[in-house]
Amino acid sequence: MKRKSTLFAVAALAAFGLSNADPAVIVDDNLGLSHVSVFDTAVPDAFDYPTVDPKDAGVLPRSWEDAPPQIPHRIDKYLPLNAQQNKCLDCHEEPDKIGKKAKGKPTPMSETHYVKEGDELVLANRRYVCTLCHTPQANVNTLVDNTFKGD
Amino acid sequence: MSINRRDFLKSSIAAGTAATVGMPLSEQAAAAIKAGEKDWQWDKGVCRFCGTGCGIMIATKNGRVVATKGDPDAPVNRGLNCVKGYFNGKILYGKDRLTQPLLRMKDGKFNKKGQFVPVSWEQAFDEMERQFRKAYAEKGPSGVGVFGSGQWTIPEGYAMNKLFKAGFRSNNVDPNARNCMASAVTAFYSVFGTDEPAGNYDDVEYTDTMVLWGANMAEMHPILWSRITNRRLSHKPCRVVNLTTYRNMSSDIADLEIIFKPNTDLAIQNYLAREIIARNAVNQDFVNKHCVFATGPYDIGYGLRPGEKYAFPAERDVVAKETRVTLDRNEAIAQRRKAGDVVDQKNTANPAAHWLITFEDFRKAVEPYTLDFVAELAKGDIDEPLDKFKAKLQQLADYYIDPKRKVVSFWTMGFNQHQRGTWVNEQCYMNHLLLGKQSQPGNGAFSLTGQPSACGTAREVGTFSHRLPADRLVANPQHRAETEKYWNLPAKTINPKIGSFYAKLMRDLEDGGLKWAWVQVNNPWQSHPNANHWIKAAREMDNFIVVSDAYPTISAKVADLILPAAMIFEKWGVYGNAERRTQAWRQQVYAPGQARADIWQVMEFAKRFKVKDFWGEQKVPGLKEAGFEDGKLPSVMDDAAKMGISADASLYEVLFANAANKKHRWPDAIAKGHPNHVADLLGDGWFPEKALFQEYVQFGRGKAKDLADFDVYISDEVRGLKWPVLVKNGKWTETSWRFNEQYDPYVTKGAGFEFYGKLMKSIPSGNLDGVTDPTPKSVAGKAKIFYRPYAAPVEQPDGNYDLWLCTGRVLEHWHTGTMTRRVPELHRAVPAAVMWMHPADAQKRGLKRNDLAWIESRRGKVQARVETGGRNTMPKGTVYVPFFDEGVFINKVALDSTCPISKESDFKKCAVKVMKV
Repeated sequence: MKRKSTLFAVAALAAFGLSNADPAVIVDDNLGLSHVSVFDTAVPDAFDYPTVDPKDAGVLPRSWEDAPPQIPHRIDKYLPLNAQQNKCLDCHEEPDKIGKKAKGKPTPMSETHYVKEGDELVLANRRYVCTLCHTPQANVNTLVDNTFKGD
Repeated sequence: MSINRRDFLKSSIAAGTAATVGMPLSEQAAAAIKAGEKDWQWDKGVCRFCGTGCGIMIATKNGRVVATKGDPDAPVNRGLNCVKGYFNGKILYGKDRLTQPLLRMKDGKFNKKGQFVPVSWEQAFDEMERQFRKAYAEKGPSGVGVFGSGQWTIPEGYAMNKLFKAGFRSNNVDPNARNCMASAVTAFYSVFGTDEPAGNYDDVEYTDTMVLWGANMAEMHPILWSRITNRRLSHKPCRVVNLTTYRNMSSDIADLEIIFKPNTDLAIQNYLAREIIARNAVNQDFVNKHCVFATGPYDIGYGLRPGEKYAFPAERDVVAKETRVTLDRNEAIAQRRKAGDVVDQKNTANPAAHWLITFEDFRKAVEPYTLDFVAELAKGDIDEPLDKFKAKLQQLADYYIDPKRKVVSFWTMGFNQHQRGTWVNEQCYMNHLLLGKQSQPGNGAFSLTGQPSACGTAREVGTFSHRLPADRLVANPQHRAETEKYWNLPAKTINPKIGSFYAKLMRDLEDGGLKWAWVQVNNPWQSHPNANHWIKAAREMDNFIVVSDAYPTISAKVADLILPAAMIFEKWGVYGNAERRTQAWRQQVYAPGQARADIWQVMEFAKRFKVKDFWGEQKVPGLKEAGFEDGKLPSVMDDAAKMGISADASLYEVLFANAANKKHRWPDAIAKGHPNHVADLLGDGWFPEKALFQEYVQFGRGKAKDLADFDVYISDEVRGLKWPVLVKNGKWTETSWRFNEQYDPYVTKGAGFEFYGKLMKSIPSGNLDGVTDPTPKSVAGKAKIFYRPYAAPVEQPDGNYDLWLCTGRVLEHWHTGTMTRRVPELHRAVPAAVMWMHPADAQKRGLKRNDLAWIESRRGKVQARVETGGRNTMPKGTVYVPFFDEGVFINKVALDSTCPISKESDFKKCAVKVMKV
């Protein structure tokens, strides 16, 4: 949408010549996230989710230290995630390695994702649908900056 | 061993979930939590987003939110959040927060054709007041209105409701919740006589069977879904059914998926009722003791604006059906008439009328809904063999009927946003009541809600154009009198004429009836269907639109005045969730710049008006009510004087900062050092949120809507309480299942069950064709089992507009995306709305994944990228487009038909064509 919206912004500025001169004036078309007149049609950009395989993916930065980690690799190959199969667990369910992420290896799920059955740690079923909290991140620019800072 | 910062942070999050999952924390880790958080201040909060109402813990440092986590003590979510929920803290910090009022100006003055210029609050209120007085002078109470919200806090909604209904004597307050759960409300009223669910979320852990009707809970109620998933995986006999018009994420955990055609849920419900009777499975004891049978008129229209005057030329054929419908073959069978019959829609003005019928009539009415008829009508995937679909319907009936199975039915927008939304809600109760599987742990029809306080603020406070607090109605003289008593108003202050519902407020703007509107905590110009009409009305008609928001939304773009609003943790608040749980929080941080809480905006505006401005005689065209002169509200000034209310007193002093409310002082020890910018700015020493809440709780006490005191909800030990909350053995005690003697103190001893709601409990008698005995008969204590027929959707695909369009949400974004799209993680998770489509439908139009396509209806068109894979699998003939993305403005395309009873818009079905750009 970027190039289009710049064009619209320029057009809008031209239409409201005064606003160019007065920086305090905010042209309505430029407000918000789509930067087109409410009477016009925006043109959405195409986007794609990562196609990188897990072994080649790094780790995404977290917004604050314990924000839920987002997924740095493709997941299309591993879906569907249903009652019969959960391929995320094939790699990330490693109760022996909690807190011990090794470079180039899967991030082991945190201890919060397990229950104790006897001496054994087993997956907490409430955590079974991974994508409720963890999502692949498309390679797109943010729409607006965010000034949140984790401590 | 020393624990580093990362470890104790991990531990602190672990503490958030250990209770849930059973992992005991080591003493060392527990100690680390205390040590590590010493410079953070943790406090409890409530999630800003959906109606689930998850508890969160918020950490602040140096005046900013630095972290949040799921609240381990919250019974709703037990430490877990969904991906949106985890980013509650981050929604406050989008860089384009509105920080000062903006007014459209030209040459230093307000001008509707001008552009936005920053102004002071004083200037903003000056213009707002000037325009309000102009509108009120010209049109009276119906010329001004409010687009309110199920995201208002309870005190906010209460304050605006009171300002309008008591102060301005206008009932033109209606929330976006109208478009979310109004059909649920009308069915609660007609079936039980009182609003809101009997059950609670613990039903998930008590039941064996969960049936989702038009509720993609995996995306829309993710934390409830985590509980359902847990139950499904941990309890062997548990079965989950997903009834939907396309395959979605909820199907992944479901055992049975039923893809049906739009509106045929009405037929499937009647098939189930027929089966229950045919298999001798009616719970005779329950039905005889606790239920009656009822029905109502069929010819009730589709909630469209009648007439051609305001319709676009392309809309006229569909709009014409508002007055006259030709029955198709299926409707004819379903309604026991002949195909091709032309039916004048004679009951559009009184669609909620209903009367008692006999069981025998009921049995006759559902008789046509055989497996053969319903399967052929309802099968929604053209590629599915009919036999397979039939077997699925039978399996569904087996699940409901099996006496060993407990069953919970869940629904949200699929039922509620439905041209027969009230009917289909009633039908769900019909089957649970026939089976006696209602109001018991693990057994019940459970209407979920969409917004965080749709129940708390919109429904309980009654911020609708026809409602008053705690199940009271504007049209009921006794309810008005009670409200006037609690509000300390002279008799006949409240206008007996109900106001405009949400869609009508828009239509009023379009026809010039509404001249002044205030929008708070919602984004109607993006979220209301058939948007091209309302954009034009806002920008081209002579009116004044005020939008209070935290971010510049589509509604802000069409507004004349934008007011910067404080967000959730920048103010004190109370929300009520979908299981009747009331939860409160403290202000955690200050809003940026000059942004202020909505409640402060309401009160500052109230300061500008005097009692005498409104409480003299007012012309109200169309007002006809016993005890009132036609077309007039009487002057109540003399009575006001007798009550000691001065004509020159401001509405702020009379309605809000009055002697009773000022007893609740600020500062208050319950704040525990937290600020209250509203109390500070008002500066007159009272605690507005607490005072208004305490005033409000009077309405429900003794009426089975009892709430505890404000301080109880704020206290650190409490994580919300499910109303009715009564003092038992000196302790505030919540109610888990309503209408069941074992759990609900309002049920008469010995009754077992009692559906004690009082609304619509005196009705005439008749048969399937109409009333035969108009004498009202009391059905006190009973629930009504309604017969409602199948009706075809008003607009269906044809040769030109050849596809169904369904709209809705996605997991990662909230509503119109104004908060979540400003969180980079959530934006990257779903950067834009795409159009999910069957690959064959795409190919037929020369389209493939990621291509740009036009989506066009009779009402408007937008562009979106095509998605043929991903989380949804569309049947041929249906496309799905979410509405969060203002860049894919799908509500320009969607249809503004409503359920004629509830006036809730149907966002789930209209006809479109799709072309390659």
